[in-house]
Amino acid sequence: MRKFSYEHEYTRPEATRISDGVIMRLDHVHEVDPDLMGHHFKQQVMPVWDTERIVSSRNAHLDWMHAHFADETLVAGEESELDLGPGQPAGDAVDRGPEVPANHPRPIFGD
Amino acid sequence: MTAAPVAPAPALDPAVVADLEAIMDEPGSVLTDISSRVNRSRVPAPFPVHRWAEHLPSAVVLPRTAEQVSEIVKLANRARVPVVPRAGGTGLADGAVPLRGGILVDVKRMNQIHEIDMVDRTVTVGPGFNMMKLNEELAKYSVFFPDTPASYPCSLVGGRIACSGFSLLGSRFGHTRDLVISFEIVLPTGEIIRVGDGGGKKIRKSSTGYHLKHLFMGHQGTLGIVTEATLELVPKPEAEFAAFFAFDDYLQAHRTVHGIVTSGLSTLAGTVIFDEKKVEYLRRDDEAFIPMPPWVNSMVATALYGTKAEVSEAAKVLMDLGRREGGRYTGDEMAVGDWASRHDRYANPLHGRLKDGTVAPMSWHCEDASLNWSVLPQVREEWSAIADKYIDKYGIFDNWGMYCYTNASYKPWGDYLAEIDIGIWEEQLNDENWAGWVDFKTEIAKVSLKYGGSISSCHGTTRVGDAQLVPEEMGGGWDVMLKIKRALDPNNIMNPGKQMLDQAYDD
Repeated sequence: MRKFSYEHEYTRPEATRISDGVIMRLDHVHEVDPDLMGHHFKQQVMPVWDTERIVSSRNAHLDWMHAHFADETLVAGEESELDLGPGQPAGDAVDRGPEVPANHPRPIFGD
Repeated sequence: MTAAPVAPAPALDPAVVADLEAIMDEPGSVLTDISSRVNRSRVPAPFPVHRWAEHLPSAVVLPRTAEQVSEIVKLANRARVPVVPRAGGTGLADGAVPLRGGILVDVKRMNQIHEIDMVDRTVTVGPGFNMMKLNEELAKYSVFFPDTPASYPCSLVGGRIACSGFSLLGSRFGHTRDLVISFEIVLPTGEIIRVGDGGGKKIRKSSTGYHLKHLFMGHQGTLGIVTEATLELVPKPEAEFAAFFAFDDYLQAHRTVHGIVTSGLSTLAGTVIFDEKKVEYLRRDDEAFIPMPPWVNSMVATALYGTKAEVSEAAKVLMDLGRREGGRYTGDEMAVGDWASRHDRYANPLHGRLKDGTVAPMSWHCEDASLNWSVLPQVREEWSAIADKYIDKYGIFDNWGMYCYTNASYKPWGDYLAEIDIGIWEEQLNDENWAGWVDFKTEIAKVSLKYGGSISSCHGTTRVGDAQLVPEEMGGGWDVMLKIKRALDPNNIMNPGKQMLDQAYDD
């Protein structure tokens, strides 16, 4: 249990810019840039503990949802490939799906 | 036959209220206060908030039995007062929105499990039962009712039948129409009947008579009020497996889905394509998408459910199919986290971006259609162009992009539930902006018809903007619909004004 400190809870940590419209103050907690958010929404100061509670609740909810739908959740056990950049079709994949409208079927014979 | 048209009824005759109280015979079950009526006048979809008062019911009743519902409906016929059924009120069309006041029948107190039959594998419930709560109960028996809409935690069985709902896992387990074996319904004249494929409360397949279940499935409150339903039980899946693949080209994602759904994997429960606008939208607000590299502009999400032995082997095939057209696996963390959130899309952030990039509060409109796989790229282009035009003209809309879900029951190929999500700044609505919104919807729906699709896969066509196109989609069947409506509801009391059905009473 963390000891409550008013200063800690109500002093928002420095923001790190993640993208044009998103910042991050707490680990893994993304926030819409307040400069964009504040025009039409009244803003409030949210204590750190409350932010963490909401994030934790959401994660608990998602874990619960998996168990709710199946006894066990399997994963591929593989890392994200996003850093590799866009992929290319496999050599035998070029002709796989018809990319023509259904009313103009590809000829069975010929080219 | 002559029918008395039902006039707007902002206030009920006190004698009718007294009759309702006599039928209900329970304190707090007939509500006429303003907050009870306001809270049951809209659904999550965009709503003409500047004309809210025109959509209030005159009274709310909270019945517990089919007999009470029957007596309420008979009273409404005698008094020529509209009746509007309402379950969870989570629909994305306007089936539960009163257009002419009247008695709103809220079925939330009809929330009992009447029977769990582990021998013949059914569960019988009231229409006010929620699927998530039902599955919490069923988990004790290792069985499952796999009807899982985006509103899974909050929608109710009665509403699922009323809109003929779509299930995220429908390609494996079927959709609402398949998973509801039979149901009891109070007709617009008050008779209580049970409908199924033929007769037999727990019979899944019959050739006796007309298949009345399918007539009343998707009734949108215009043909009666469901008071009990007998539902399918399936074994709770031992295992689930989800995988997401990223693309820099929508057509690669489109082809990838075709390869996956025609692979013959019997555990494949659902496949979803995200288009460029959807990825752009999620990149603004969704934890999993914010860190995505800029080259990602499309996504395929897919999931398997079944025994562990089946899913383990199928997962290897799926990982290969997801990469064949150039897909990049997005990692285990996203596969787990984002798939779970698919069961609960009503947690969407309800804000959008204006043209200057600033954030404004927006409600969520999801325009859905059933479309064949072959036309998805063309429809995507035309829907996006329509959205751009209206965003530029009105400045109160935001394009939140498209999802396309596998749509057929028990098979993942063929047609797709295509959705374009539009944010609307409701606070800015007035008659001019609302009319613009209706035109926006109509243009989108017309594209669906142009490409041989259906205006709605699962929401229904009760909203202005869609409703006037129903006769065009139904063709010669429209006249049959009108005859059925008039025969079953001679006084036009059941949810009047919806779906152009007033035409049934034109003479």
